[in-house]
Amino acid sequence: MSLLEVDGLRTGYGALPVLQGISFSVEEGETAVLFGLNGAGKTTTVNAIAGLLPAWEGQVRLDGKVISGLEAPKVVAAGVGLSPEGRRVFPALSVLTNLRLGAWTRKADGKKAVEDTVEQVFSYFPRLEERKDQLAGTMSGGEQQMLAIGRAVMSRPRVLLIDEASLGLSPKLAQTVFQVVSKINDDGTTVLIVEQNVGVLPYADQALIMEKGTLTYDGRGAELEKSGDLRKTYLGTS
Amino acid sequence: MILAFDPQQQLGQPLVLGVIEGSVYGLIALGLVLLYKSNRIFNFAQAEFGTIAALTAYFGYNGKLFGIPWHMPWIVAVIVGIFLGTLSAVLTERLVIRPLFHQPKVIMVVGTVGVLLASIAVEYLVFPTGGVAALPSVTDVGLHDPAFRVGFAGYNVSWEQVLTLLVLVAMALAAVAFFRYSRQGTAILAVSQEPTAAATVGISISRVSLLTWTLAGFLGSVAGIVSIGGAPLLVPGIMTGTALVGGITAAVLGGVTSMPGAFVGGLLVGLVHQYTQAFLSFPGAQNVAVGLVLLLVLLVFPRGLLGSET
Ligand SMILES: Nc1ncnc2c1ncn2[C@@H]1O[C@H](COP(=O)(O)OP(=O)(O)OP(=O)(O)O)[C@@H](O)[C@H]1O
Ligand SMILES: [Mg+2]
Repeated sequence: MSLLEVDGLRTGYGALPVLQGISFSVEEGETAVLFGLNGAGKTTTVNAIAGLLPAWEGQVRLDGKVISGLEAPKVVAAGVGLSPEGRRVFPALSVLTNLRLGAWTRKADGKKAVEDTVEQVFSYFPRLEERKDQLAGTMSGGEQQMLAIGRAVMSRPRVLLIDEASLGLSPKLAQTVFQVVSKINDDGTTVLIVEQNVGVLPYADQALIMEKGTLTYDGRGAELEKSGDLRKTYLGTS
Repeated sequence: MILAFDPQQQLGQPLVLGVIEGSVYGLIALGLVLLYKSNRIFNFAQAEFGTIAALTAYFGYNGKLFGIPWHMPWIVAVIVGIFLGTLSAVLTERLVIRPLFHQPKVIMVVGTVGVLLASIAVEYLVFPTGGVAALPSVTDVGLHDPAFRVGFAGYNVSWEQVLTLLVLVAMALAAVAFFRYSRQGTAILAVSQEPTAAATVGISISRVSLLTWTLAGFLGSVAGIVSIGGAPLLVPGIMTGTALVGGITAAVLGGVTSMPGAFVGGLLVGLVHQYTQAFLSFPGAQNVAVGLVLLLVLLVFPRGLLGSET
């Protein structure tokens, strides 16, 4: 059984369907990358998994348990963390408060455990520690991206969803972020990352491509580079 | 007309009365800002939660509440009043705001106007106030005696005023501590700044909404209780009539999204009111002065005195 299973998921906005019943699964401990053109439905997919959008049909399962139909807070508590599109840090709160809010569902773990996770996030992103008292809204785009990912890590998710980690980052910083995500993955968190930047491919165990609300490719990351599907999707050539 | 100078009348008294009156505006403004931050709406019923609290407290202490002459001790009457005022805010959230959550904001605002009108109607049914004027204060339990003199101006402050000021200072400090240090307070700030992100970390938006309305109802209720001491007339709609405009002015002065700003704005409105009244005797002078101050502040600080999200 895969850790994350998406099974015939259909959803959309109002009466407008976006996802036409997509199915895929992500194995425990792996990193899956979801590619697709603008408007393909990538954000819709991760938001639906995270419970921000109700599923019209189909199921999302985490470790065999159905999590579709739960509200977002319950999905976080069940073990799915989302670094949402557009970063969305809490602008008028400090970096440290942003991170602690990431552990909102871990009240029972106690302060000490949460502070340990803060330290862990600081070890992933030393820049955040340097700026821990700064208001999140005054940080650079790249720093806010790190914070959004760090905040999602704070819930100690079993599956970490990251929507567009590299958007607006320099190629160098994008690589740094990918390396950290790979480290988070090595430390035992399963990752599903939405990307447009093919620089992420070396870190991808699994690759998915979406087009107009359907999945058009689901395979191993290493094979995608050879197959030419990615070029076809992004450049319209083969 | 400009009045002749008298330090007690024109320095000491306006200071004390201005701070108390201003705190009432400040509390109303705090509630308005809180709801603006979390729902992005102006709540037109905000001051009326205070009328409900004040009328309940007064009739619990002094008259009949639901047909029963309770003769509650004043402290009990005050607590019951605050409870019912807060409860009306909770009901507003459940019955009006929650069902309109995904509607355009303007519909929610109209919903709060509906709550205001309905509240006044209910108050007329519940509280037999016909023709009652100049009611004594609920806290009128021998606390009217002068406590001490304000040093520089020789104005006598009553124990009631001392008590009121202490309560107001304690409330302001508690509000600051709540938002700075408590888990729920931080959650309210998080939801107001980034609702989507708040949901992604696991904060329940609907629970925070209920909490916010509870707090706003509490603040409005305390404002109502504090102002009945000085109210010339205790009738349905009184707080909306006397304090809503001051509260809105205070909120705008403070920058609409700043809670400390709202309170400072309230004090400013109260002091300008009282000092204008002490120096100029023509009718409406206070309101003109407050309008001028508002204009000046917005000219110098277009985003209000503390116009950042705090
Ligand atoms: N809130 C919304 N209301 C209505 N339609 C929406 C909404 N959000 C997205 N859509 C539509 O759903 C479709 C898929 O959008 P989605 O955001 O999932 O795409 P995406 O693959 O994440 O694109 P991008 O790469 O630009 O982020 C688009 O056609 C978009 O217009
Ligand atoms: Mg997207």
